[in-house]
Amino acid sequence: MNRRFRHAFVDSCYTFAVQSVPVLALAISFLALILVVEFAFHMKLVLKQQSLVPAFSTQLLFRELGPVVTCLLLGSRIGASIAAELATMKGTDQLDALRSFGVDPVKYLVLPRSLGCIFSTLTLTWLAMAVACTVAWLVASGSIGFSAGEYKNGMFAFTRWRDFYGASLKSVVFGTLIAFLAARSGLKSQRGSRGVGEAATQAVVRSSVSIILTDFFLTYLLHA
Amino acid sequence: MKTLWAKWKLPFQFFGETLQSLPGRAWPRGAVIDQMYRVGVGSIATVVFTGLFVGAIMAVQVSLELRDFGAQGFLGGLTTSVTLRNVGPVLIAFLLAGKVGAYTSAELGNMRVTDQIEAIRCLGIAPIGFLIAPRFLAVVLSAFCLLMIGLLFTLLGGLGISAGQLGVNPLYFLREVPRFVTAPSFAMALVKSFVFGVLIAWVSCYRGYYTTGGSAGVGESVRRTSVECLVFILIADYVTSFFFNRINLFFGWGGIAL
Repeated sequence: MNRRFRHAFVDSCYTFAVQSVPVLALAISFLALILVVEFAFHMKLVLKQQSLVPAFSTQLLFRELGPVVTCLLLGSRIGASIAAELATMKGTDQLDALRSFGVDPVKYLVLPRSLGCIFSTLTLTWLAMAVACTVAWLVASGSIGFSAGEYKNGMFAFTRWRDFYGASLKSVVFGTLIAFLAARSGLKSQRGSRGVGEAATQAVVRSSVSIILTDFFLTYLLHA
Repeated sequence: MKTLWAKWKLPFQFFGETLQSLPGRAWPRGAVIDQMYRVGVGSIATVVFTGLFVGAIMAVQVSLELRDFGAQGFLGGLTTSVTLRNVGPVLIAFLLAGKVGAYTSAELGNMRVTDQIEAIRCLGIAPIGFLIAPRFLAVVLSAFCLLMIGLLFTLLGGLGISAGQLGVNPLYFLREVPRFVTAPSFAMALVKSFVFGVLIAWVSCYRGYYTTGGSAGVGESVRRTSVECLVFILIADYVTSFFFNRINLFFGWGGIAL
């Protein structure tokens, strides 16, 4: 790990992780609100009471929606920016220039960005789950008739450490997929502004489809 | 304060101008159908695929939650209701934000940076009526239709995984669906699909039309389009759920007192 690689890695961690925090926190807060409202609706429909709302909504958040929604959001943010950057570099012959210096563009450009991408999906999934739990607790304890203590005690009734590890594993796998697919569509893009747009679109679409697909198999392997 | 409003009013002005130009039909004949074909037909396979998997994921999750209570009889109804009301529209709309929204924004951004939009203006044609209006309409219509197709396939995905892997009789799965999925839930799915379609169309046309900065700018607008679509979809999802809950409470259709 030389100095230049370290700098590129830290740079990409900053642009991918730190700068995504506000938008992610906003999106995830609304997700937490939706989960509480919808679970309250369904619990009333099935059990005719709402005492299990905190437990069930936290469980679904940890097992499913936390990692998936975070990584779909980061997939568009990180995936599109990696693909667009590489496609722009290809269109302006910068990749060929690197090759002519004997530098491998995959090692020099793609690798630090990929590691940064995996780092950001992992840490931001943790952050997202923390934000979502906090928002759900603050809002739900005020509005659907739970006291703050009741909600907090009920929240982690069904959630185990296993679910947390599962979410971490999911986010690492999704981060790898995002980085790989984005780099691939960026490096294989056509030249010119049309190629840049196509590469970015492709990166977003492919990463979202593969996240949903992989999520099914991971859920099945981890929990069923 | 005044400068902040000057910055923030642009998207709303753009939306207003687009809506005003819709009845004029200043676009070439068949432009809407062409655009719908381009953004819509190519997305059908992706949406079907995603729908099947979203349904299957939710069926597995709900069955895990119900297993501990021995309440597998609720599986069909609960899975379908959760997917139709919330998770289905949101996840499929996320996908369409990339497939339809990013495509439209890349196309318009490419036109902007290669000065095609200026060229149209030079010919004395208003670009909003000629380019934006048909695309807006096409994105709204195709996103709505694609969401409906996707939601239908979430039901099939849930049914398939329950019958194939979780060992639930398909008839047993379907029997509980009508009791859980009531008319208000169904109406909510329709309204959400329409709202998400409008959001995707608005964001993608706006970001594409106001692209600056050459080919790197096209990539930037694609990124902004997909991220902003995702955030606005989540916000709109909450707002729709909230208002539907209020309407249900008002008419006594079983909402919850928030």
